[in-house]
Amino acid sequence: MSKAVRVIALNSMLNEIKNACPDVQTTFIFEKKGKILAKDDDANLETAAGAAETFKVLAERADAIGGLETVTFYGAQRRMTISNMNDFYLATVASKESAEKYTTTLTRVLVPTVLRLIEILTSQCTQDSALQTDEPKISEADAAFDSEETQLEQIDEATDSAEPELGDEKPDLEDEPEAFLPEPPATQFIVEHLGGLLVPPDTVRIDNGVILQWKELYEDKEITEVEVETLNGQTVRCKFKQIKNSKQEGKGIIQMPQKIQLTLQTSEGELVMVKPVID
Amino acid sequence: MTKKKRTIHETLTTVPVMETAAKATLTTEEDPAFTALRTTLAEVNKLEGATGYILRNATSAVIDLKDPSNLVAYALISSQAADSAQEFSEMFDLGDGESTVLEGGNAKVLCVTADGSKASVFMEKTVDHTKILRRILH
Repeated sequence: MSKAVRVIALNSMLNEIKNACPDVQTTFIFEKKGKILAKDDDANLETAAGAAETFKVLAERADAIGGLETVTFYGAQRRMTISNMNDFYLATVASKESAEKYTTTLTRVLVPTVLRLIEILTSQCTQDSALQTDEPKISEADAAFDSEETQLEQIDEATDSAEPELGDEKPDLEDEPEAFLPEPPATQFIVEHLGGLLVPPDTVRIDNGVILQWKELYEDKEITEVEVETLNGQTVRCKFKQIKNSKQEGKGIIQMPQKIQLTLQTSEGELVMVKPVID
Repeated sequence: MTKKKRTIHETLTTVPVMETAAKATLTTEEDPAFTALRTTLAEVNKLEGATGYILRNATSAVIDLKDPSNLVAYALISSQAADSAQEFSEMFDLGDGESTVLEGGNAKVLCVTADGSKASVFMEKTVDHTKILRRILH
């Protein structure tokens, strides 16, 4: 999840808080160091930044009370609350008449939930990008392949112009692309038990989407087997099929017969990495 | 723990006194409102969970803390809370500062402005500060 998307999610959440509690006038979220992470549409960035700085100074003096978790300033017209949530601080300015308990309950439930959700999505995105680290290699390989092709074309042209020495080198260059087959991408799945009388014990079932990706990647290669690896490093080669039940598609699961689970010393709910076997 | 009580009838810098006493009074002249507030705070300080208070106005200051080792830190946070309240009030148009509640990991501070005096009451986290606030304001 990009930083911009995160900010949009947080800003939307703050605007929704304002919609739910019309008495809330300003909300913003900032980091301990004072950097503003998000604010509602009406909040002034400069004022919010100044408030974060003021809070920082106050928080630095709060060691004697075990660090500052929440501070509320009650004025004659408005009330301002700054609460620590998951290493961030949420500031809320509301009218004096607003229901403090309602606002507090809403923000203390909603904000940490959204922050946690963002963390989970961010970590998931990081994992996904880690899994796709092979892709740049593929692009590089493609680029190298293209470059080789260009060279070959140039050589072809040169050969056409009757230079036998270059013509001798051509077969070597033509063999080169074989070396640039992309590294098989590993995909992470959660194991789901696959049982039944007619279930072949040596075949796992995986998302059709993933299978299609592999087919796209290795157009000319027939993929009949996959290599499944557990987090403990146990690996097994087995056949694969696509998941039959379309409702299970896209859920990141691999359906695995008992025999393969035993071989891998894994079980339902465990994570495994799967990559196609390219011979 | 030995507690000392000191009264100095002149305007002084309070810090040297605070460093040496858990209970101190610095005053040039006490007004009745200040004295009444001081009496209320002395009663509040007897409540279970209350750990002390600092009361000050332009001319006087009273400090009574059960744990003197926190004296300087408590005075600093009390003072900073008042300054921050003023700043936030200007930034967000909160109006005249009435009270501030600081909740820390292991303690709570209630800062109240009443009759030109600023009081900070220190208490354990579990204490209901609203009851103390009501008591101070009435």
